[in-house]
Amino acid sequence: MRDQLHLMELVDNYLDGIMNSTDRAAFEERMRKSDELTALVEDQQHLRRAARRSPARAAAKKAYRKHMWGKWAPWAGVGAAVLIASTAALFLWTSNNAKVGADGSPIDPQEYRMLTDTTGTRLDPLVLIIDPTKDTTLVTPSGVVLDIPQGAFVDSLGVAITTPVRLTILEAFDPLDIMKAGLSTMSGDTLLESGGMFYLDAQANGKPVKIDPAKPLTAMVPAILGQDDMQLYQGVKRSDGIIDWRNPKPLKKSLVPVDITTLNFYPPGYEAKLADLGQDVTDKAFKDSLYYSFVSRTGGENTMRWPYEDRDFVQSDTTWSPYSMGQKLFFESCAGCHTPTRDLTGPALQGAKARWAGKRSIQDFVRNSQEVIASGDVYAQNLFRRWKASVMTKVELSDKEIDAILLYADAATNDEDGIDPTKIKTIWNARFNNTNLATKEFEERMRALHGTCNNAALDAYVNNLDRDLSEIDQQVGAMGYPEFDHFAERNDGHVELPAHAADRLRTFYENNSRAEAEAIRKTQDKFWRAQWKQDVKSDAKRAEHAMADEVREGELFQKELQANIDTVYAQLGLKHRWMPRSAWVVPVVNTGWWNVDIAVIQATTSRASMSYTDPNSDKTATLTYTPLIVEVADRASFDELVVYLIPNQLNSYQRMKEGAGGFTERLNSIFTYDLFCLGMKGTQRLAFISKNVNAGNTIPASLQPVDENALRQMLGRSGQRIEGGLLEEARFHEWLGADKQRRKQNQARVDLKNALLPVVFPCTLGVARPDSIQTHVMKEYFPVK
Amino acid sequence: MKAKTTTMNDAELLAAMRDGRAEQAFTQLYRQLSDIQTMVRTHGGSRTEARDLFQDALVIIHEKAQDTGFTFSGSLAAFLYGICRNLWLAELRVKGKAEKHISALTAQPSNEEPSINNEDPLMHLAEHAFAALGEKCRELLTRFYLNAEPLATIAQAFGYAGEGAAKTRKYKCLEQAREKYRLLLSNTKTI
Repeated sequence: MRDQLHLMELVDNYLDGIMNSTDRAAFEERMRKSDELTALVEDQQHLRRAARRSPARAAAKKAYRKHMWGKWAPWAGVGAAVLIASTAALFLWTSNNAKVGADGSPIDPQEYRMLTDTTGTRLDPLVLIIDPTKDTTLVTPSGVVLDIPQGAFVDSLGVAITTPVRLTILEAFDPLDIMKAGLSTMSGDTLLESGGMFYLDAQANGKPVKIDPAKPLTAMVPAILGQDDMQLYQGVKRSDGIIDWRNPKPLKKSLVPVDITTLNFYPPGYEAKLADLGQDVTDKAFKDSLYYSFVSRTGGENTMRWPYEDRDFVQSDTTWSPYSMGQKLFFESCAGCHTPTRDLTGPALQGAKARWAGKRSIQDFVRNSQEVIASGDVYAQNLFRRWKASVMTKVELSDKEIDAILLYADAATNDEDGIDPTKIKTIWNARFNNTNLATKEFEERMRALHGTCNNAALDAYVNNLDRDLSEIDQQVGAMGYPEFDHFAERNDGHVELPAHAADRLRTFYENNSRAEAEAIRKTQDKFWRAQWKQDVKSDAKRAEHAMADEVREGELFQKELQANIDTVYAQLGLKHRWMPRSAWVVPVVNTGWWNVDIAVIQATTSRASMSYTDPNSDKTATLTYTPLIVEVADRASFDELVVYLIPNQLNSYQRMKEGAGGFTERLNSIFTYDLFCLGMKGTQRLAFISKNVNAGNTIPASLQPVDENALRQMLGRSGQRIEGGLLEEARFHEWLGADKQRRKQNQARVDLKNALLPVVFPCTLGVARPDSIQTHVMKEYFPVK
Repeated sequence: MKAKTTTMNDAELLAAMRDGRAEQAFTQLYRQLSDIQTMVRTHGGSRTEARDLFQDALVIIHEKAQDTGFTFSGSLAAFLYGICRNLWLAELRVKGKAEKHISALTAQPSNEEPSINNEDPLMHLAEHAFAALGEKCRELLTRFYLNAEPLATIAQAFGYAGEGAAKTRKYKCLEQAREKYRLLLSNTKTI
């Protein structure tokens, strides 16, 4: 993010024409190469122009109003203003009786008469009789919802009225009604832009009643779209009969709680990214557990990793800015124990350089803290003690590199990685129903909160459920997030909570977030530790099997060699000879029979045909090897796939080599072979068997699902001798298939999380862009002397 | 109370636009609106379209006026009319409106052809994106880019810790604007 800001500054310099010619040329060269940069320059150019135009645009609109007003004024008078403008004004006569009036004095009978005088209004009054001993909710024809709590009306002594109360309601919401009623919209000498008003009077037994200040009525007025700056005015009729609107108060927009689980608190783009990655985005349970699995980086999982391969940068080291270099080094060497802004295993690194100023070199301390401590440096010793004597890992870095890290730490904004998913898990919970959080309004803020990456901003909302959203908007805006000032302008209120509920929820939030994080971290640790153990075991098992394979293949070779020798000797009419145990290392000392043996050994080793003519007897011996190809359709869909040849005359089997075209092997013509294919798809076992295959062919093998019995039968048919061995082999490959799948799933888990990381923790990884132009920034930090 | 009816001459109008009294200048220029409405309505447009067009033209003139070297040969009124005519022609072409309006309007004698290039259609989106920013962001960026106030002054006015903070805030605002702008762009089919 920071680098993006620098880049935008560069673009500004470029557009302002204040770059020197070298930088300018370099910049333009980068623009030619990077479409992204070109787009940025264009956008920025447009937005700068938009910024310059914005006051003119506002002035043009304002001037238009004035222009129209000037045209209408002579004949339309005051009423016309109502037509141009639109805001709501409320006319409430008694709420907080003792406090109304411009000067705060109680309203005297004279003023009451002025307040309630409706003579001259030509509106049809809505008259209702209500029972004040019950809660009443009214909806007027204009859509005003009036909520009257039980016991709201009191007599002049403050005693609750129990007899029926007669309500008179007048309302004028559209300009025509307002004009028809002869209502004005003056506040002192100022003309109000008004979209509507209503009037309320209450009487019991023919006498006016008061509203208990402790039980105010609540009126919900339909909000006019796009009007965020409504104010509430109180109307007082002046002696000239015109209503004067006084005491403007900002209107709180009511918050309507909804079921919190219907809201969306995921980071913006999370679901889109999931869909991009081909995941099921309709499965909420899956989305939740995946999202919540991103506990903060202290979780020890591989969430913290420099996001780019170095090769993106290697053109030249000078393209690094110290900032991004520092950032990279920070993540490589320090992030295990430090963050820039929070204390972790070690202290927050922000300000470390300043703290060490005038002391021993901080670089020495970073490289070997124990040495500095042992040298008797007091600051270092205190530091060591304060951090409970945890020894800092030695870091092999140059002064310049350490400087870059400290520079990064200092420059890193208060932003953390992103909003802690466990906090979301805690609040996205029915327990927070009927609070500020269970509102569409908060959902909007949640999206913006993800953008701040600042958990303290989220905390502000959760910890102040008894306060207006707008109040917290201001607070968060003041933390340095201007977009929240925009929210504050909407004047959103809050959802009423029962007494102490805010405190209870705050406690729950604090404790539960921590507990959730702990639990998730533990679960993950457990899972990955178990996986690691499995990996170790399976590696051992594979190695063992590979050894057994070699032994078996060695034995098979010996058998085949023996058979070949026998065959050749028979063809030459020679006496049967036994082969030496380690045939192929026997030195050839002279010509003669050994020749035959060597040729046979070579033929057996390379599985190539041979022909040998005995110079003495003129008899010829031949061995014929003919290739066989086995094709399996859609090989990639198998987790594990092996093809065996079973020479019927030998008590063993061999694996066919896998190549681009399929499985191949050369068959010895002195044997007949059975073919056996075994495949695993997940936990499903598939097999194919073919007896007495003909060499020189291509055999398409179509594997069919088989169960244990079918497999036994299949193998039984191809000879009892090796059934045991092959079954065991089959079982090994079944296990291997499952293990491969397990590893694949684990890898997919890691890949998925890495892919989502920039979305969930936007401030961790969205930082350095490989295509940023760094040279200019470099100069800023390391001025050329 | 009746508003003052002093009339500004062209130079005064431009000066007013330069030193933040745009509204005053515009109010006077609106007297021309009826002419523009006549022009637009006789060539296939509505009153509202004429009004929007007129406001665009005012914004463009305001933008031009910021450059002290900006000159035009005829009167400001003629210049304004010329801009509106060009804008309406461009609008007609984009909409593929009846050719007769275009040829009629092109053939209309005009004593001045203002040296104005076609308005960049993307500017409307950019302005929308900008208007969608928070008030503080808008003010910050306007002060920076229009009034060219130094960072230190801006930092003081907004109560920021220093120039660095003001600068960071400025670019964060700009980045926000860009996000909104990109969103608008992606939602708008390019013609």
